[in-house]
Amino acid sequence: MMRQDRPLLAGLSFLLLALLAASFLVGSVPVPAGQMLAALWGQGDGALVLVAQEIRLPRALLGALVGAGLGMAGAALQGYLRNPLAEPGLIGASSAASLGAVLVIYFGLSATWPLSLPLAGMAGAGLAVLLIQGLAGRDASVLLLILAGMAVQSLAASLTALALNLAPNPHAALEIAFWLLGSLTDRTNQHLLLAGPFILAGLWLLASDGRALDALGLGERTAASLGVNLAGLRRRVVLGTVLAVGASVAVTGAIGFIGLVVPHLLRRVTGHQPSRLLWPSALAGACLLLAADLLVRLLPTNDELKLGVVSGLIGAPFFFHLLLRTRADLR
Amino acid sequence: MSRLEATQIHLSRGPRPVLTGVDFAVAAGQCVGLIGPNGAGKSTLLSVLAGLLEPSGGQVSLDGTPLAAVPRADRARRIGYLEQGAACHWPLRVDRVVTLGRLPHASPWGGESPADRAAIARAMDQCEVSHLAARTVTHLSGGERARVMLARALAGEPALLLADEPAAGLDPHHQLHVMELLAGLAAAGTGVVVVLHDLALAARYCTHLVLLDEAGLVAASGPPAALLADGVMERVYGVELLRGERDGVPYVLPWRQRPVREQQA
Repeated sequence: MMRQDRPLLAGLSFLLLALLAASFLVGSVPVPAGQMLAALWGQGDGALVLVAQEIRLPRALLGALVGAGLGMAGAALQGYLRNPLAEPGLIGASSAASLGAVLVIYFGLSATWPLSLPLAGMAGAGLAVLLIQGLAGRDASVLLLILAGMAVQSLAASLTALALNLAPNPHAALEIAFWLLGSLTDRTNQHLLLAGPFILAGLWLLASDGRALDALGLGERTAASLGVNLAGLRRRVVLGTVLAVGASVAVTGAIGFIGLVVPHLLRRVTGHQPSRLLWPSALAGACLLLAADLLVRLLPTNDELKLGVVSGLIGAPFFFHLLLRTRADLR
Repeated sequence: MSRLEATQIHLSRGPRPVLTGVDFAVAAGQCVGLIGPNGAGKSTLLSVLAGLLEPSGGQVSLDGTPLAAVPRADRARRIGYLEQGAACHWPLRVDRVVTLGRLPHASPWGGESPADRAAIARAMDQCEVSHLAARTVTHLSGGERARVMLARALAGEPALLLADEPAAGLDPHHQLHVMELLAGLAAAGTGVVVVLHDLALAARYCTHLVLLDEAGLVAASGPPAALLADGVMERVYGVELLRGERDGVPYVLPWRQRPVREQQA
């Protein structure tokens, strides 16, 4: 991390704290901030304490963690694949995590045992990575990795569609469809405790790869000559992504584009250096997700908009914009 | 005193042998030119010497230790490697690119030490790129970028420097400058291996030449004057060379092609 990035990191941290506070204080029922804060420490009305400790707090913290995981995973993958269009979804981890969760809903297991949902999501992401490793081989090139990721992704997407197709009743189909849209609504401390450690472990793995990612910008051969363990780096980036993204998707559903948009916004301010992009992307990812989640709660729609819908609506045009800009270089 | 030695290196790509029983050695103070026609395996041999490619037979040793047994970080500090046509994928500032060359010396806690800063400034000065420090590397001309990449390799202050065509794409002034720089490094105690296509530069600046032929065999090795004298270069390249000498230094000029295959048949 470089000294010149301190103002950026400080600014983003401040913004994150402000958004955390806002996320905690804003809800469907307006409550004065003082009462809300008191309830956080267990004082005041019992129902309010429950809302503060069991609903608002986990939602805000989970939003920040998931956003940080998606943001940093995007930055790390873009650095690793040397492609500004790369996204955690690219290596198939997101879709496979979705599939795992969908299967649990399909077989009705999630109704009797709620924790099976996140567990199945992470198992899906883990299986996807094992499959990719098997498909691409141990010392696979970046291109082979992307192709294997695409294969896994399309397989997971078809199986998810199959589950929707064969859903036993309309209610189950609706539940799957809603879950696929991605949301932070009604997430509890259980979700937070289950996903949190994995996301943090993923962040730690990815954050420690900064220098190797910088060296990789000079090409694999030169990076290896500078002492970078290419196979080790690949394992760390893939595992870090699975932990951060798999755990996130498993508890919140599919929330796309954070990993694409955030690093792109910050690339210029961090001098295009992959190592300097990692932590700012985590902070900004957390901010963006919290802001989007605030938006879905504040928008006067009949049914609450799903977070994945909002992030997609913000992200997809961004993807077009990026493609148009990259198109000139690709010709 | 650093010494890098390769014995009986064999390497195949598919059914085609790329290197066949190649012996090679470079020691501190030498500037060894690796020459040969296209596809002779020069770059492959350089990768093997740098420990980036595992040969299917033979061994590379660094100061008597098998290269595969030298810890990765240690190898990176002692052997510098400059890739052919080296480029940077991201539009980084030039001084940040050169700083990447200090990676083998980086402390786990980050930050640049005074030694880092001195090495970076010296490397940029040697390669005449100090004035480009704040420019974006992807916006440079080919020649400027080649010098920046050489500075990147020099910033690591390796005892052995392996450079793959560092003079390619440079104008005559900078070609001479780079070759003088490499010869100067060798004279000051670095072991230099340089892949060259330009026979004039090879003959003029290298202390030794190793000539690979199209079968991946060492056709000849020794001081430039000896290789020029016995006509082996003309046979392997299939060209006629004009030769001369000035102030005791040999020079050559490829003059016209000779039908290399018919001659062999």
